Amino acid sequence: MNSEAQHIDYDLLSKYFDGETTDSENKSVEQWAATSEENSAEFKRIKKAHEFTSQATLFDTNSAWDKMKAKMDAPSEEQKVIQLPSQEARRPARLKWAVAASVVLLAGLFIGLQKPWISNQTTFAAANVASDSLVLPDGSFIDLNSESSIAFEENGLKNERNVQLTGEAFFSVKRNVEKPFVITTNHSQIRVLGTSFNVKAIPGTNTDEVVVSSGKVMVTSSESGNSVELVKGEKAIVYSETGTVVKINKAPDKDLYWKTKTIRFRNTELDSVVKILEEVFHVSIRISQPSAGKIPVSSTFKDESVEYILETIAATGRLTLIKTGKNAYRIDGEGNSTP
Amino acid sequence: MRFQIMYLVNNLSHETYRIPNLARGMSTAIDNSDQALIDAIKRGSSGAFERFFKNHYQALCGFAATYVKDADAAEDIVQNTFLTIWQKREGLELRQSLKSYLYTSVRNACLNKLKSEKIRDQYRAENIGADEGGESSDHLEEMELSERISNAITAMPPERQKIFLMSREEGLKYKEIAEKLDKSIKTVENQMGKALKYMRVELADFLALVIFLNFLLG
Repeated sequence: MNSEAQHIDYDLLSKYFDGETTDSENKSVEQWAATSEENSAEFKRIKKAHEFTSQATLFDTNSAWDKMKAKMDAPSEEQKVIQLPSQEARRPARLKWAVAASVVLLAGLFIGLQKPWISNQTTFAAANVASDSLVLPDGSFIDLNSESSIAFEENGLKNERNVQLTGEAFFSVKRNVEKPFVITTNHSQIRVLGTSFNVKAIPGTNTDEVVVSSGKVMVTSSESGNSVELVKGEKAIVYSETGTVVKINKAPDKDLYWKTKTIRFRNTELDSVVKILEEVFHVSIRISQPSAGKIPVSSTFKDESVEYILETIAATGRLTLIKTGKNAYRIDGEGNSTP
Repeated sequence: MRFQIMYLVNNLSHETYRIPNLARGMSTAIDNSDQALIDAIKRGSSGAFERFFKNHYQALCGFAATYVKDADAAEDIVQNTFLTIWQKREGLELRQSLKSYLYTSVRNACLNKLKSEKIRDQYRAENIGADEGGESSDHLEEMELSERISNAITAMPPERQKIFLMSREEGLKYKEIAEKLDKSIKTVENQMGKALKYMRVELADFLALVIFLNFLLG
């Protein structure tokens, strides 16, 4: 056998190191290795190359990352009741957490417990980036909006999955056909097998709202027992006084803004745009010239401030944006719908 | 033990024994891009952390598997190490690169995993106190070897990779692989030969180092 590198019979050597050679093949490999110093050294190198890769494995990085992601979002200690501290409504839904270690707390109890958490607020504010969601023992995710809380019994998730919600939260429920996941609010009950959806049940209001992102959700009024089934993109409003449940076929973007941080306008008149922005960002916006309110707006904004959104819209429509107060704006100009 | 020689290199003087081109592009020092990555992770950027995770996961698992001899255990260790870094990110202060910190952490976790004192002691004896280095010791050679192997596996043409992994990962005989894939045994032999040659070329400088040290140590 020639000792030049290009004449090395790797097929044979691979069989040899994998123990698949016959006696006569073994002999020919060993003879080749013994022919020269150089062959011997090369034999050793190839043997090492085989040894180094003898346990070579391809790991599934993407599915490992999915697992990691779930663990990263989970609170690091056993935490049963989560209450978000109240905050300025200037920027909507900047998530901050306060966490109590108590086992069971009913929603009403939170009011009395607000104070001790105020001192915790800075601590949680620092950690708020990763703490915008929690993972329940059953693997379901919950993203809580500000001033919202969720309560469940410690072993309440073992037999049935029951949680109580005050405020607003986005749920990604782990599918389990045996154990439906039930969310109870003041006015309604939401029953699912495995899906993702948003529930808005703000205390002191007369309605609960449910918006579904995926899967199927059953919403029932506690007052009347009336219920509707919702699928992806649909919305239900539960009216507490009448027990009526109204289904809306297309849920507006703004309903999930706190979660998606995305707001889209498609040929939406500025009057409507302003109403949506006022609601989402808790600001007041006045349009001084009625004609400007008819200008159509088409744009998508992701994670932008209301000021940036208004400036962009104003610039496109040849309008002038004036900041008249901390959370107040005025849009001047006749506007020109042809940019 | 596969890294026995490598540890010896660590304990000797690098300047004297390292093959010059071995450490090209590698450093345990913190450079600017590393600092930017650390900053992003400290700020809680899960995007930056995801890139960091995905860049190193395959190589780290291969690295961990050489200690714990079990792919699942290796994956657990690597995931837990990343998780700990993420959870403690705010206090992350590094004197070394994030990558060498990562490898050191994984290696320490692996050694802890080898619970039986007997196994650990045996390992230590074989590796001449190599695991006492803690954070300060760097593992350039191991890191680079794991990365090279990892890159080499992922860069193989699909058919060859499949055959290679069926042999290495699943421990199948060439004949079994040929039957499973409905190919001739000649094809399997040929692909395995090409894979071996490819590894020989990809790992060339490590192999030179190993042979060199074998020579030094008699």
